Amino acid sequence: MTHRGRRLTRLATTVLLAVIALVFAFPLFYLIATSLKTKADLFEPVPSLFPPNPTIDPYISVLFTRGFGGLLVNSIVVGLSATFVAICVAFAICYPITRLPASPRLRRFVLNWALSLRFLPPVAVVIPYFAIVRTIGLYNQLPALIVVYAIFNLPLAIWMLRGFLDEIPLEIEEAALVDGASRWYAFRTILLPLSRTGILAVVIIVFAFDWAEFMFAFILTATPQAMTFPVGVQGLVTQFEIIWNDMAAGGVIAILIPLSLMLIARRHVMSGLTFGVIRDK
Amino acid sequence: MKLRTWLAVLVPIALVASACSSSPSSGTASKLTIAAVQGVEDAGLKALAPMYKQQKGVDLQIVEAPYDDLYSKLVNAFKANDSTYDLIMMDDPWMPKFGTDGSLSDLGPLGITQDPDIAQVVWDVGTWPPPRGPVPPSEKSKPKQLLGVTIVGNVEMFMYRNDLTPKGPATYDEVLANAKTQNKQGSVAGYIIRGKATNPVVADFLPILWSQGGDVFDENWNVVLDNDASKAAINFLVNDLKAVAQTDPGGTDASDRDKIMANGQGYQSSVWPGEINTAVLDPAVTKVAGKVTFIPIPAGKSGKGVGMMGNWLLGIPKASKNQQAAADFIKWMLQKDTQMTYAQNKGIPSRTSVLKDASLTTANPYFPVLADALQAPPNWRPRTDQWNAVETIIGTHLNKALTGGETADQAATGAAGEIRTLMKGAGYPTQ
Repeated sequence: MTHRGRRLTRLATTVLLAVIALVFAFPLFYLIATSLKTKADLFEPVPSLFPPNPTIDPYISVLFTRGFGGLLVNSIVVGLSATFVAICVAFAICYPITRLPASPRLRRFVLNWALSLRFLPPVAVVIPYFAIVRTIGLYNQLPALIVVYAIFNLPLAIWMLRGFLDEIPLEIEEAALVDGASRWYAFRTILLPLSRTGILAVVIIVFAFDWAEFMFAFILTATPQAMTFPVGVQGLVTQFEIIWNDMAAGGVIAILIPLSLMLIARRHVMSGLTFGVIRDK
Repeated sequence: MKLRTWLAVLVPIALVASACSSSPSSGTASKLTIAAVQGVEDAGLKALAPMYKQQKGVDLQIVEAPYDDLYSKLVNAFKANDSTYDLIMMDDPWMPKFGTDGSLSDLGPLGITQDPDIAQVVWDVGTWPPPRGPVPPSEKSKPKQLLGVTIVGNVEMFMYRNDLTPKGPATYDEVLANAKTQNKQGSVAGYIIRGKATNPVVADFLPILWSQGGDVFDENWNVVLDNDASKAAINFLVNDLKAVAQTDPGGTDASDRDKIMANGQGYQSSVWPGEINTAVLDPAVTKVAGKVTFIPIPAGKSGKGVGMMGNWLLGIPKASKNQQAAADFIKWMLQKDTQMTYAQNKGIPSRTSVLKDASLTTANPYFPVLADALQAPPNWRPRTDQWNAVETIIGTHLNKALTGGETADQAATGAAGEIRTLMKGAGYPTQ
């Protein structure tokens, strides 16, 4: 290819990427712009791209006046707890099938079972879950959401963790066992530290799913004691009014936490997500 | 910080916080939990909460949910026999469902009695089975009980721009004539249709239907939505009014209508009291301050204008552990002085003397019209627990007709046929 041809290709690529970036970034920009608008701005016949009179009132309204700050805390508590539970259970399932001499048939069964859970649409089980939760007295309580979220994200955690654990050579752990270490000691001091990149990736991904979940939170809760942030934000569409600026502020706040986590740990997440994608034992 | 250090710090915090925040709501009478609809309808209620705490020492926890979500949450809570809510706000069309299911307590034995300063229809709409009109077959043998008391007096009215025509329309013929005149001038939509599918378009259409002499059911639950008068009403909406309406009437909901009106881009429309304060009378956004007059629904071919009721009631779930405390709050809320404070804080009262109080009419110019509308009385939506499904059928067909998917006559016959099948399946003697 000639020098001119390369330049044209580079220019075309840049333009294409810029257009794609714009398509992806514009909704986010408009969300932020709307979150800074006043009610009067929203009533203008022609919507403006930039807030004419920028204000942080919608953020104050969402976090304090409407009391969504408590819902934010609920979301964090549920997200962290459900992620912790899912990862603990996933470890308990993945360890035997990756580190112990389990039969390939058992491995396949466990992994396929986990995958089948993931394909189950949440709406198919929401009524039985509702009945169970009310029977055991957990309706409108955070532990109900923690358990349900952990169950629903367990397959994802299992499949991701299994990929990471498969990548860690058995020989390292076996060397420790030969030297007299117990299985628990080898797990704690060798396997866990070696798989931390993978664990971090699983934590971020599972937490992001927990964070964005709406349907179970909506069905299984009744008051702000147990409601999560997405349920609160959705409530801003009222019968006679759609409170766009508050809703946009809620959207920005909802994005901030998973986005921050992703930015902080993006190196681990990227390497975690590409871990074990080539090889399959 | 290493991962395990992070985990060691975060997980216990999360679990402890979870345990702390998951304790069930208090069942003592020092606190009442009210399930309320989010929006202007519960603004007055929220304003009363600190006052009740100060006077009676009872905390009011108001749990808000949007219209559709509130209904789902209440159905879920009743199914779960959950005692979270001590009081619930309910739209009057929900009464048949909750009354049929036996989810609410009778307020009579709890000491709530009728007050002549509150229109009779307000008591009737909270009574189950309904004291007039067709009664569902399964409910005929049940004793009448007061299951809800109106806290938002909501009757659909009509609004028009008094700067464009000093005299408002008295009939739907005048509505159409005025709309054509305004449209010719080209600056405003002659009529604003709230035509979004399901509940919105049905709420907009029923006053037209009734005023033009049509109906959904007759006294024996026979479907009459496809008789001549009903078809004429549907044609009036879909052909005549649509021709002079805003663009995309099929996608317009109440918030869009209010924006069009508040921006001075519309001439007239029906309106709920609950939506007036969000835009048309909101000084922060309105461009038509002092230019909008509120009047009763204009008369149609039937010779009268029939408003539609959309009252919000307060009821006590049977599962509540604070029955008497909840009833005491309702009694307190209905007192005249409380209703005055309520009205001064964006609440929409139901007491006639409060609605007609001259000191309130400057801020709420529609109050006297609402008082008259409640005395008229307005129609309520058919009292059947199948109403949500019926409304969805009608609203889907009307929306389809407004968006060009079928003709007005097809909408009438299509909807009527589906409603007949539905009602027969539900055990009604529908023909």
